[in-house]
Amino acid sequence: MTDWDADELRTLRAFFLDEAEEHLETVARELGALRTRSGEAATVTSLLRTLHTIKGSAGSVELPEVARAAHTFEDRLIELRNAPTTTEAALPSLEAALAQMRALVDGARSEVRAEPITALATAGEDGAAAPRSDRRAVERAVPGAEQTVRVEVERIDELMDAASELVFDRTRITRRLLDVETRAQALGDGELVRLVAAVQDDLEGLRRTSATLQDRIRRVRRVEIGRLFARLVQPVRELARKEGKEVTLSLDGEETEIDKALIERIAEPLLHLLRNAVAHGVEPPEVRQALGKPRQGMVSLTARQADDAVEIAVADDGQGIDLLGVRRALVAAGRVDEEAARALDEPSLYAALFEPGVSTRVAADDVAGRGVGLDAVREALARMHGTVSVTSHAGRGAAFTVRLPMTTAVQEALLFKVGGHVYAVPAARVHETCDVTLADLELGEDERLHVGERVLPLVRLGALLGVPPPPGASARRAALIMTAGDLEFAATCDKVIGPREIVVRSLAPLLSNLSLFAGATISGAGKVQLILDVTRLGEIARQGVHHDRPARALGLPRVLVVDDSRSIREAASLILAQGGYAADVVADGWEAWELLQDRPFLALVTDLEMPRLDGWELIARVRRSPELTGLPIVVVSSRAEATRARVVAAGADSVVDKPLRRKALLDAVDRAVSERATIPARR
Amino acid sequence: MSDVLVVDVGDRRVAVPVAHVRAISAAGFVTPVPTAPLPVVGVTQLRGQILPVLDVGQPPRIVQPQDPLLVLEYGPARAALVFTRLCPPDEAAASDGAPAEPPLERLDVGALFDLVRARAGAP
Repeated sequence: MTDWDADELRTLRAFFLDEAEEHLETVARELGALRTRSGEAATVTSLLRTLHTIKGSAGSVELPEVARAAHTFEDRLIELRNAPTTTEAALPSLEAALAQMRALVDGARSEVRAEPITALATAGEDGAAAPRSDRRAVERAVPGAEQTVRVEVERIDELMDAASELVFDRTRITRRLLDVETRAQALGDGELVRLVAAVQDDLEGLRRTSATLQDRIRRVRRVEIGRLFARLVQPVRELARKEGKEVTLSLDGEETEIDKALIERIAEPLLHLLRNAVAHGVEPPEVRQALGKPRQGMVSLTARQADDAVEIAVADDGQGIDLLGVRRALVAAGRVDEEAARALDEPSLYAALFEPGVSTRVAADDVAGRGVGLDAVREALARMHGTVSVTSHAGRGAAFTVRLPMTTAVQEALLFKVGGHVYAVPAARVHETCDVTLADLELGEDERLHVGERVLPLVRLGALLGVPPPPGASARRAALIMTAGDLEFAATCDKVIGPREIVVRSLAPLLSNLSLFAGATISGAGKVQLILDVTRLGEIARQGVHHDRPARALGLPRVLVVDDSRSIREAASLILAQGGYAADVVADGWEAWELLQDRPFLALVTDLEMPRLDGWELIARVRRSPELTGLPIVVVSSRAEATRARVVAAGADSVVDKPLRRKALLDAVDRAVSERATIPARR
Repeated sequence: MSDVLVVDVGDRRVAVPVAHVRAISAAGFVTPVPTAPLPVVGVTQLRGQILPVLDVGQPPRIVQPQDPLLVLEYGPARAALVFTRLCPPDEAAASDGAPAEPPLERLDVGALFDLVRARAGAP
């Protein structure tokens, strides 16, 4: 039995097959990586996420054999994750699983292609509306049938880039004109001064024209989100049927406009959230009835424009998030022990939902339960510089709100300096700037800034960015008062430069996951200036990144690795990644000491013999520092046995032999972290 | 040897597959990117395109505007590799397969980009 008509199914499968092909390419690439980086946990996790996405989508487009194949593939990977030493042996069966999935996807594609486009002739002849799947063909085949032209997004981007260059050129001309004006005034040449003024008027005209041009191009890029919402209705209906649940999906804000490039990328994360709402949130009809609720559950999908972002909320009126279940899942995944789990507050538990491997569902099935859903959502959104937040009320439902910045190529930005470098934030997000002194800062457990009567959460940008104030800097600082969602917060910098019109550019694909940055711009002098992501800054201000929840609040727990041998740093970094830690590496004790002043770390892994500042002195400094004294320290040494007693006496928690062995290093770090878990690693 | 460019990067000698080299350029102003993992030492721009600047030397240096860069491309990603000196073909050939000082290392551009991507992946 199916809820799809033939055209709908063919359209959906065509979407799915395009996506599946990309996903299978990713799977193939990552299997190749597994072959060379044996058993790498991050690769296995990434593979699991990709397969989970394929599985969920295949089920939605009624390709159960593809979903089953993905499920089997997941099983094999999970076996591998649990016994990573068997990677080599497991690879043939993983590659066979990939081949099987490829064959199934190719088979499905052949079937889709073989179906005739029956509506094309009809639409051309009598003007009747063609089924949605055939409209594209109609538009191509019947020129003028609709007053539209299909243009690749890349072409629009090129157009926007060219229009943006106008701003860049105009800025440069303005700067040079200022020089000319200064010279003309110095020479007392009134005619030249008048000419300069006339050119300035012309430049203002150019500014208006280029702004109009950019606005028109921007509108071309935007589409109503209702187009996407319409595609999500059927998968939700189908899932509810499979789950034996009665669900009404309500849509609101379909007219909200969103960038075309985002609409395809946001589809999967939203589908994940909707699946979760149906599978995890809404109770079965008989349970709802027993609870005094209507048999039919309600899932809503709403969109709205919020400042310079679009907010999309997926909400349900089900049981709410099972906080006890999240605590159990965290313990089961080995993230925390039972006592620590009990101590976690609601925001921490919500945040844990987005971590890899955490699922509240006991039995894995085709829909959910392997803990590879919400972390994929978070990662996908992070790639778009988006965020997701959660609210939940026991027995009354949960809401996941996605916030996507609507970046435009040209923005009014506020420029400021930190550590001698110029940074920018969108001016629309800054509603006040002020000068502050040390007396206005409240440092300690939760850093805050006193601004008049208000006390605001604070982010010290110098500390966050790891840059010291410039030489000769006074105790005075400037502060930007910004808003991120409903949070008003402050960020201190060295100096506010002022508002400027900037051309926003991508930071480069390799760095697109650095969530602190929303992009970059190029100054009139050709320097790259980084644009900070205000939403991310708001999160950091809310979480108090400098204090009691350091590394986990920013993602993977970070470990600082210090060794003057590149191969040891690389090896340690890889091993730690396999153990679920992110490693920052530096080449000597001095660099490590500087980094420890400015960033929080979960643990320190250090060599002993290093230039500038050796491991002995580094350990001594850490233990003497009131802020760092509880930091877990693991020493790696080629003379572990000989130095063990001295190293432990110096303050290290354990010593590991070189050459590094994965188990030994991970055991040592895990043990040191867990033994010092009650001592904050950093104030 | 014709399929590689041999460059010195600090005290390392690296063979870079020509297939992945798109341009040789001066570094220009390199802006540090806080939180970016090594070997990323900053970003620069080349004709309006923002490029991560990578330094695989040991230890990484502060890149000066006149320092030369190889613009590398692998799939859709681009990055600039800072180097200290382009080795002439005869010198490069002498390094190939012979016990040379420093030893010649072949740069796997895909693996280098994967490493950067993986390290930058944790927000």
